[in-house]
Formats: sequence, C-alpha cells, structure tokens
Amino acid sequence: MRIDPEFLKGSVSLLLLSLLARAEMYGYEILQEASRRSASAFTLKEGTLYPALHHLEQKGLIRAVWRTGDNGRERKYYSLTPKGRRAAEDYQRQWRHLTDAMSAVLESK
Amino acid sequence: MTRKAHALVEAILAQARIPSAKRRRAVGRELLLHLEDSLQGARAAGQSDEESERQAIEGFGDPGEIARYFCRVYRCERAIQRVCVFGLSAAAVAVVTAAATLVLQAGVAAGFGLPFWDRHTLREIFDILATVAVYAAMVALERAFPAWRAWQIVLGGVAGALAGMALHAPFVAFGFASAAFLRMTRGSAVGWGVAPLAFAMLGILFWARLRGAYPLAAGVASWTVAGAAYQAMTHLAARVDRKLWTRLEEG
Repeated sequence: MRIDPEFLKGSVSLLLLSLLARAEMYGYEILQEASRRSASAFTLKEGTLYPALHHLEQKGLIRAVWRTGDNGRERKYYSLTPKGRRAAEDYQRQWRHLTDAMSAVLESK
Repeated sequence: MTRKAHALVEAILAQARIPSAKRRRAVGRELLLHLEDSLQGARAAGQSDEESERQAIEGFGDPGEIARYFCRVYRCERAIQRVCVFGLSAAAVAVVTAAATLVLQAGVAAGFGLPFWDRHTLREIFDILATVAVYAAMVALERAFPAWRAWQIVLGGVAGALAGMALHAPFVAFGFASAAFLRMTRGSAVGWGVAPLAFAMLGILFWARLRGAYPLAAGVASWTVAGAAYQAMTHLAARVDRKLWTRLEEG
C-alpha cells in the first residue's frame, strides 16, 4: 500500500534516525534500506532526503564524513551521534505511544 | 554523469541559497553521486540508458521543492553570516570614517583657533557610528531582499528616525535620518553636492540654535566637511559590504 507523503513528513526524522541507528549509510543506501525494510511502502522523492539529512546534521543528531567506499567511489556517510542515539530512542517511544493511542481510537466502537 | 542530471543539480543549487561556495560544491557532489547511483541501479535492473535517466531524474523530485527545503535548512546560517558581514562592514567603515572626519574637523577647528575636543565631538562619534550602522543595515537589507525597493528601506529609515526622536535618543534619530538621506542621494552626481550642502545648512541651524557661540564660518566649514565625509562613507560602506559578501559567498 502506498503511503500519503503528508503522513511521512512528520516522521522522516524518526525514519532516518532509526535506519542510521543500525549502521552508518550514505544517502542512496538509506533510501534503498527504507524501501527494502518497508516493502517499498516508503517512496520519498529522493532529492528531499538530503535537506532532511543536513537538517539532522545541523541539529547535531547525525554526523557525516566523506569516505571512499568498497567499490572505490567516494560517498558521504552518515552516522548517529550520541545525542542522535538518545533522540532516536525518544522518537521511537513517542511513536509507539502515538500509534497505540491512534489504534485505540480507530478500533474503539 | 548525464547533462540532464548536471542541469538538475545546478537548478537546485541556484535556488537553494546555501551559504559558501565550498558547501554548495559539496552538496552538488553529493546530489550528483546519488543520481549516478540511481542511474546505475536502473541500468542494473535492465532499463535502457534513456529510461534509466528519465527514472533517476523523475524519482529525484522537483528541483524547486528540494531547493526550498535546503533554503529552510540553511536559513539560520545565512542570517548569522549576514549579521557578521553587517557588523564587520559597519565597524570597519565607522572606524575609518570617524577617524577621517575628526581629523578634518580638527583641522578646521585649529584653523579657526577653536578648541577641538568637547562633548559635541563625542556626540559626533555616536552620530557617525549610528549613521554607518543604519546605512550598512540598509545595504544589507537591499541585498537580502532584492524585491524591496530602495524607497521602502528609506521609509524604514525615516520611521527609525521618528522612533529615535520619540525615545529621546538624538544620535539614533540622526543615524536613521542621515542614513535614509544619504541612501536616497547615493549614486547620483547631484548627491555628491547635495550632502555637503544639506550638512552645511544643518551647520547654520546649529549655529543659530547656539546663538553664535562660535563663528558661523567655522560651523558651516565643519558641517560641510562632515557632509562630504558622510557621502564618501556611504560609498565605502556599500563597497566594503559587497566585497565581504562576495568573499564569503565564494569562500
């Protein structure tokens, strides 16, 4: 099922932080991973990923380093900072609380 | 990388208003690498070159929308940069102008055998600082908001002068009024004559207000010198601001 991008807007930070909590990744890899893990439900316009990443970097939640990858190509790898790791846990808690509350409303008679 | 992909990235960077050329280059490189990955991914999935390119570019999104997001992300950094340029150019021009004006006026005072340093001199330094600060802010605003007309900024100057008067802060009122006046006359050949003339008339007004405490010629000469110095200052402020801004943009 395709998800309305409006729903995604508020949860992009959570999505990015959760993916980066697993491993450091570069932009294209993040999108591939999001698509794979969500069975292609998340179809962001690819270019909008970068302002979101730069915003998280400015907030000190992630850090970025240019490095040459295994295939010899240079990439900008993003990883979580300690502050970002705490934020990811906090966002996940908030998200679970929100979805539980929303489910309770949707399933109530 | 294809020409279309380069054009897409250039279109984003042209509107994104990312501060510093170094940062813009890094963002451009990152976006191009992404497009290259998309292109290769589509090719690996068996798409033709043409179809891969179309898919990569369409999947990337609207360049205007991406640029707007970048613009929002770097808004704070841009504002800090702008304030720094404003502060630096205002300080540099104020120091140079204050020193030059005071030296010239000291010459005039010495010529008339009058004491140079008094309370009025200190007040004049504040007048110069206020004028330079407001003038540099006007130049900065014109650059930051190109859609604004000069007269709108001048109107702001007049409003500031009135506010300064209401707050009984004469140097603030003078700073706003003189900066608005000098901005209005900037760039015109007439302006070079109008500013010293207007300041000379102020000299006559002050002389009359102080009931001839000093020779009229001394007052007129001193204010005329100040007028010419203020006029030169406006050109200097605009140039320093432009140079600093260009350096930062390219740096």
